[in-house]
Amino acid sequence: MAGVAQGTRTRTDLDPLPPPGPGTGPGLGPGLGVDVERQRARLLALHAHLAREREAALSPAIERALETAQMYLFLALGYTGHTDELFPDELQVPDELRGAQAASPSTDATEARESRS
Amino acid sequence: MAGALAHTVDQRFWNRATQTADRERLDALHLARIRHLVGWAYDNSPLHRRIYNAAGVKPADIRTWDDYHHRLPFTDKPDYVRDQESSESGFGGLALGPEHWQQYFHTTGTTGRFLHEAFSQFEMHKAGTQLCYGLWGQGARPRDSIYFCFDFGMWVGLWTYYWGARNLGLTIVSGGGATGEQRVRHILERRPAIVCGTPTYLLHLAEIAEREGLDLRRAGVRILAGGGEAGLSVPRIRERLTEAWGAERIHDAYGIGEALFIGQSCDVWAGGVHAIEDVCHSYSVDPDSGEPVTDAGGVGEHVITSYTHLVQPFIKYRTHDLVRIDDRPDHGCGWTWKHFPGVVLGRSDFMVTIRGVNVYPTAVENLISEVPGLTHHYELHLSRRDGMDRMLVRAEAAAGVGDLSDLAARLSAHLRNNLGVRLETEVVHAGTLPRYELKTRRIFDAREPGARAATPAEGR
Ligand SMILES: [Zn+2]
Repeated sequence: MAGVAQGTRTRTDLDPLPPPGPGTGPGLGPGLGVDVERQRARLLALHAHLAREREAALSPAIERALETAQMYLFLALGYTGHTDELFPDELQVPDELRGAQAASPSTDATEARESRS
Repeated sequence: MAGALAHTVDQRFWNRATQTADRERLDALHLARIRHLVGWAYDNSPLHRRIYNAAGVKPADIRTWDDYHHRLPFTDKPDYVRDQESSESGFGGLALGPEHWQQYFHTTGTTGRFLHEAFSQFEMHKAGTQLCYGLWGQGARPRDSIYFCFDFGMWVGLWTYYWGARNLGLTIVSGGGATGEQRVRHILERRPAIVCGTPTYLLHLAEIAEREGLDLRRAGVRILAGGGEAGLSVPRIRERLTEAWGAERIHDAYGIGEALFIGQSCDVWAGGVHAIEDVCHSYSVDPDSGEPVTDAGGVGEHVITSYTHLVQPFIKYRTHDLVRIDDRPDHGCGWTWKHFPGVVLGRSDFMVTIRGVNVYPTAVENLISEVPGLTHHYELHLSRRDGMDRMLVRAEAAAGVGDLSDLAARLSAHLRNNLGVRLETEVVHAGTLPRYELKTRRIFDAREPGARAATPAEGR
């Protein structure tokens, strides 16, 4: 399967929780330590690099090999406490698809607020 | 693999950063993952959307642990079974369709109502990480070999062990399609570092070896690993296995059919297993009220959220296993992950009330193993007479034991002293009972279907 898995979606209506501990910057995980955060950032960059290479794959063989590589890489991300995405396809949702999802009813924050009142 | 690691890396742990993180940081990770998953399930799984809508809950409502505990509805196996029976795919609770599946399975059960389970390729890789934490802790390293005493079928538990072995980098030796005697001979020839099987089967192989005049201790097996039954955390069975195989380590894995082996032994055995918190959230509730168990040492029903399942999410899912959770264990292993002393203490949905006393088959099973002179082979026969539930415990004597009636009386007394009720007991000669591969097959329920509470333990 090339590119994005159909049906994969990423939540856009969840407000970030306050950072749970010291040493946790915005957008980072809940602080498993500076070294772990640095590794997590490097792994994310590597994942993006693999995604670009996958788009330029010269054969199904190469594309599939890189897809599998991304799956293993995503295991490493999980070990570093990565929570923004829970499986590799979520990382690959392009911006235009994210925009379409934000307009879907289930991700409408207003609806969620109404249900609380 | 490990050879590329820097010298400064702490190799005692498979993944030190999370395995030793403090409770507050772990809980923050859990809450972030749970919130993400609830949104995922709401958006993609019609079953979850129906359940959450019926409860008037939207993903954005789940912000705190109090929201998770009190606002988010539980899910249970019947929700999925009903959904699978009414869906064209034959699968329940799906968030991603067949174009994403790499393999599917079904849970074990005695009622014939299997729960079908589907996995994407990534989920299988992720499931393969679960066993690594425990096996690494026991000293398994890449290029150690592991022997599987299995024919691989539709039960996912065996496969996850296989994926775990691949993920850790073990050399795999398959004992598929072989007889017990052939497996004993394979093990003596191949000398695997690890042998994987249920405790019943590992003891069975030891019996075969003895019968054939073969010494399994000469195979040099370091680690016996398995799960699927309580035995690997029962002291007397651990002792027997250690003795018969000459193994240094016994590795127990606690599995839930729907969430795989989410509990693992550590290197300092403390009578139970740790939750694998990288892949699952665990807490326990009062089975009747659904309120979280807050008192230390309190027994409750284990409720899980799996981070391995995206095709078929399991969120705040009732396992019906009764557990005791120590959320700040301190027995010297260094893991901070929750610990389940005694692993599964019983089943909340498979209970027999005998003269007013609630009796769980798992508790009976554990007590049988404590009576000297009995083997680990047994059957439980449930019946109902004049509206009253009855349980006959049929156990097997060890070889050479002569006075069976005395042994039956001692078993009866041991059960009465620990359960508070007298059960019918019968002890049969050594070698009489069938060797069951799965625990559920040893429970015979002759009560009318409507009189049963539910099916016995799935996957354990
Ligand atoms: Zn431990």
